[in-house]
Amino acid sequence: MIKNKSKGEESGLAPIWNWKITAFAAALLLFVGILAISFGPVSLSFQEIIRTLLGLPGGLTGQDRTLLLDLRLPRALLAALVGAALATSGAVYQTVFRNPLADPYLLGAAAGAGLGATIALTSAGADLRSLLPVFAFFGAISAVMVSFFISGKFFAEPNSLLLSGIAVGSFATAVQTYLQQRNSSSLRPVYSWILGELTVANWQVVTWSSIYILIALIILFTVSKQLDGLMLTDEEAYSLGINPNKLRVIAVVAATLATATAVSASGLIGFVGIVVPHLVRGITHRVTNRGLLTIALVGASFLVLADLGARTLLSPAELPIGVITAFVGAPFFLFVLRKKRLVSQ
Amino acid sequence: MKSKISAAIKNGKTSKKITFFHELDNTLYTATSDTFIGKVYKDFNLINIADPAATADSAGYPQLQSEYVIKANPKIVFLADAQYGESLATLAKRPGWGGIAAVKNKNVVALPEDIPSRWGPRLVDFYQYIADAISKAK
Repeated sequence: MIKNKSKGEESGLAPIWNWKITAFAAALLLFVGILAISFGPVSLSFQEIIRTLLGLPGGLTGQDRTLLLDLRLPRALLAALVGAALATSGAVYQTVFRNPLADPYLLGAAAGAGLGATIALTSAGADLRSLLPVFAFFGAISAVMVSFFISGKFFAEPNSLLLSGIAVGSFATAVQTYLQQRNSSSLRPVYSWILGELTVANWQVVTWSSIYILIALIILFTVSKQLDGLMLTDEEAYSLGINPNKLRVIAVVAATLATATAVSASGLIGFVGIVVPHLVRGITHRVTNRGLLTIALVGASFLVLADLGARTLLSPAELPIGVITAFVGAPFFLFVLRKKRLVSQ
Repeated sequence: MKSKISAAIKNGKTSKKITFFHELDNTLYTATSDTFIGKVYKDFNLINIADPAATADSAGYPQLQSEYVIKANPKIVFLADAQYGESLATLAKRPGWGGIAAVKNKNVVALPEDIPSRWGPRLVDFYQYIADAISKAK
């Protein structure tokens, strides 16, 4: 855990969380969202885009309207949903496991989803290909469940769960690699899925993924205040009226639901789950989980922006979004990390 | 084989500007004119809508954006992914694709799996498929 106190906190004057930051993050998401749907290989008039969105007369018509409402808008929304899901789950995992390196894929969700997707892509039948999201979803959920099962005493020992998650992940990756080697023709689709892609975004994907992601996020936001208790020892948490084991189960189940949904909708998009929570904590100098909503909003903005890059850098071709999140995210993260170290010295 | 290919080219070669899209999978990976497949199409003077994206992938297989394909409005679509369930019907269901000339005029060619990807004697059939599609698009 990052321990970083601002001057205000030391004097006991500053509130635990400043909601102005949340409002700023919401405004940022709105701005980035409008930016994202305004650019693409086809140039559309900005004024007409706004008019179309607000339902005013004089908006886009015909094909341009379809491009905006059925291609760009669902894609930006899916990016926002996935970004919010990954960033929030990452922050929650980091709190639950008291480990700053925890990310949403920690308990084998990524490897499980990868195995599910590979089974769908390598199976002889053509029909399974369209079921890829379902396979990825259940792959992720079952990998996490197996991790739970193996670790036995559930959360009495977060570290044993963490280790069994790593082992299950390695096992799933081994099976996935084996399947991939046996079916080398599926190498490209599997690889491109692993790098993450939002190209498949349409309203259907946005609708079903938003249901699960929003349910999970609402649960997490509801318990966000109690989650701070998990940063203390279990005895201290009990003394605050928190049942740490129960809270950990709720938090991990909800975070896994969000992660599995995000993964099945868009493949493996790395880095968001680690970088965004630390970024928000670093910039605001707050480690509290009351910032969870802000982390979700910043995660959403980050991925919407990254997707804009994926669509425009090689336009009219696509770049896998995972490349952008890591390429831009890593150096920026290091910058924040270094700045923070200088401040604390 | 050579004479059959030149006969197909003679039949199909066109001076009209006919655009096409060669779909490798439903995430819109395609082949530019720099590739072997692309050169086959070039023999017919067809215009490959993937060529503006040629710099995106040094091997000549970039991934296009749906939005771009719709705007490029290809007259013929060749489906190398037909065995994975793609067809005129699935294309028409994609958002915005109903307006593409190839879909509107039903000039979507479902290539059997081996034709565009296993080169050899079947190359003749590939040329024939293209010649047929062009005569339909003219």
